[in-house]
Amino acid sequence: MSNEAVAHAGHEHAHGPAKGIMRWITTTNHKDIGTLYLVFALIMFFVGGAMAMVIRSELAEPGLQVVDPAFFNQMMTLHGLIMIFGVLMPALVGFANWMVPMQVGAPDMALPRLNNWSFWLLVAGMTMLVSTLLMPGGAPAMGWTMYAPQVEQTPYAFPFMIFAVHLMGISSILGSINIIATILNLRAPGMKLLKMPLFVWTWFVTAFLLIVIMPVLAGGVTMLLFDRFFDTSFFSPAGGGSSILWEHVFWFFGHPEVYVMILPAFGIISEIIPTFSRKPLFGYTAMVYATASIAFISFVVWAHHMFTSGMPTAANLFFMFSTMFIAIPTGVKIFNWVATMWRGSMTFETPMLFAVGFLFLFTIGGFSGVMLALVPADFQYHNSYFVVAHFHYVLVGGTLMAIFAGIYYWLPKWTGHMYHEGLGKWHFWLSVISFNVLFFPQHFLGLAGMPRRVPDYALQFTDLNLISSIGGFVFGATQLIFLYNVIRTVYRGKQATAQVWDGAHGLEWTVPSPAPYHTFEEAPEVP
Amino acid sequence: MPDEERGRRRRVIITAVALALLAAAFYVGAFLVQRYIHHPAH
Repeated sequence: MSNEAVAHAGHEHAHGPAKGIMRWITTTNHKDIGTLYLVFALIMFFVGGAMAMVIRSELAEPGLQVVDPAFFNQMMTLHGLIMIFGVLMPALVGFANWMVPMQVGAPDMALPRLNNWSFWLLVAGMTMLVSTLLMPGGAPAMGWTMYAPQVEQTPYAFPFMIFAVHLMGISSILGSINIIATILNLRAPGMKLLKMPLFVWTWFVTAFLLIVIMPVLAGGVTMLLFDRFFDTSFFSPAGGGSSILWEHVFWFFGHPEVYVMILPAFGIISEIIPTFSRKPLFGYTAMVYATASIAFISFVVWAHHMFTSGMPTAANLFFMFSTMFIAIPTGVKIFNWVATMWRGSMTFETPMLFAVGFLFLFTIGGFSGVMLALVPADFQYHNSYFVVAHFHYVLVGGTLMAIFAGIYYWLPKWTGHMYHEGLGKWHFWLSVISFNVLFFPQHFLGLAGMPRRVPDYALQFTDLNLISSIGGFVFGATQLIFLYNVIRTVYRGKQATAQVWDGAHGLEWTVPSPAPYHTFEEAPEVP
Repeated sequence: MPDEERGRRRRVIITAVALALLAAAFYVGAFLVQRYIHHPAH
C-alpha cells in the first residue's frame, strides 16, 4: 500500500459531510440528524400553527363563518396530532440527537443507521397523516384521542391514520432504543451515571417511557384496524366489546406521553437556569430521582382522564390521589430551580427569559392540573375549555417555551453564530404576553361551561373568545420573528466563541462553535 | 477490531435487543388487556 493510501485509510473517519441532498437523506451523523429533526419540527410548527389560526378564526365570533364544522373538526384533530407527534416530540428528539452524544462524550449515537431510519420513518408517517386532508371525506376528525368506536366512522383517511400512527410509533421506539443504548454504552470514561448532565438523565428516563407506551398505542390502533376491517369487536359494545377499553388503552399511552413531552423540557431548563444563575444546579441528585419518580408515577394516573366514564368510586379515588401525588416530585423540581436562582449572579439573556417564563407558565398549568385531578371538581370541568387552557399551559407554556429556551441556548453551538439578542427578547415578550391573552381567558370560558371541540358557541362566550383569538393571532405572528432570527443566525450572525455563555459547564462547551462534524473520536477527559 | 470496541458493540446490540423485546411485550400486552375490561352489557 502506498504511503498516500495508508494516510487516506487512517483518515477515513475524519471526512466532512457529503455534498448535496444525499447528505441529508443518507446521513448517519447525529448532528445532521438532530438538525433534520429540528428543521422538520419547525416546518410542522407552522403547519400545525396555521391550523390553530383556522380554529381561532372560526371561534373569534359565535356562528359559523370561516369553515364548515366538519373541516373545523379535521383542523382540531390534525392540530393536536401534528403539534404532539410532528413538533414537540421531534424537536425534543432533535435536541437529544445533537446534545446527548456531546454531553456524554460519545462520538455519535450507538446505532447511527437506525438513527437515520427513525427520522425518515417519522417524515413518512407525518406526510401520510397530513395527506389525508386531500382524501374524499377529509382528514380524521375525532380529536387526537381517536375515541372508539366513533373514530371507525372516519372515511378513507382511517387506515392511513392508523398506518401513520404505527410509523411514528416505530420511529419513536427506534429512536428511544438508540438513546438508551448510547447512554448506557458510549459514555466517556469517568462519566458516571450520577455525573451526567440532567438533560441526558431526563432523556434516559423519557426513552424508557416511550418504549413502554408507544407499543400500547400501536396495539390499540391495531385493534381499531381489526374492528373496522376484520369484523372484530374490541371496542364495539354491539359485538361484546367495550368503548371504555379504548379509553384505558389510549390513556395508558396518553398520560405518560405528556411526560414524554415535559421531562426533556425539564432537562433543558435544568441546563439553562444554572448557567445564567452562575451556580451549580441545586439538588442534582434529588432532580434525578424526581425525574424517575415522575416517570414511574405517570404509569398509574391514566384514568384521571376518565373520571366521568362511570368507573367505580374506588378507582376514581385511586387515580385522584395518584395524580395529586405526582405534584410532589414536580414540586421538588420547581423549588430546586428557584433555589438554584436564589442569590445567583443572574443575567437575563433570551434563553434565561424563556426558562423563567417556563417556570411561571408551567406552574400555572400544574396548578390547573391539580384542580382537574379532584374527582368532584373534574365532573364540572370535564370536556370544557378549562381543559384546553390547562394542557396548553403545560405544553405551550411549558414544553414549547423550554424548546425556545434550548434553541437560543444551543443555537450558537450548533451554527457557530450568535442569534440577535434584541429579536430574541421581542420574541419572548410578545410570545409570553400573547400566550396569556390567548389561553388565560379559556379557563373562565371552561368554568362558565363552554365545551371544547366546538366550532360554534352560545352568545355569552363571545367576548372572551374574541380576546382569545386576538391573542392567538399575535402569538402566531410572533413566531415569524423567531423564524427570521433563526435564519438570520445561520447566515449572518456574529461569530460565537466555544464557551458561548460564561456560566456554562459541560463537555459540549469544550468543543469549538460550530461543533465539528465529528466530536470526541478520542474519549474526552471528564473533570 | 480491538477487544474493547468489540465488547462495546456487543453490549450495544444486547441493549437494543432487550429494549425491542420490552416494546414487543407491551404491544402484546395491549391486546391482553381486553380480557379484563368488558362492557357492562357483556
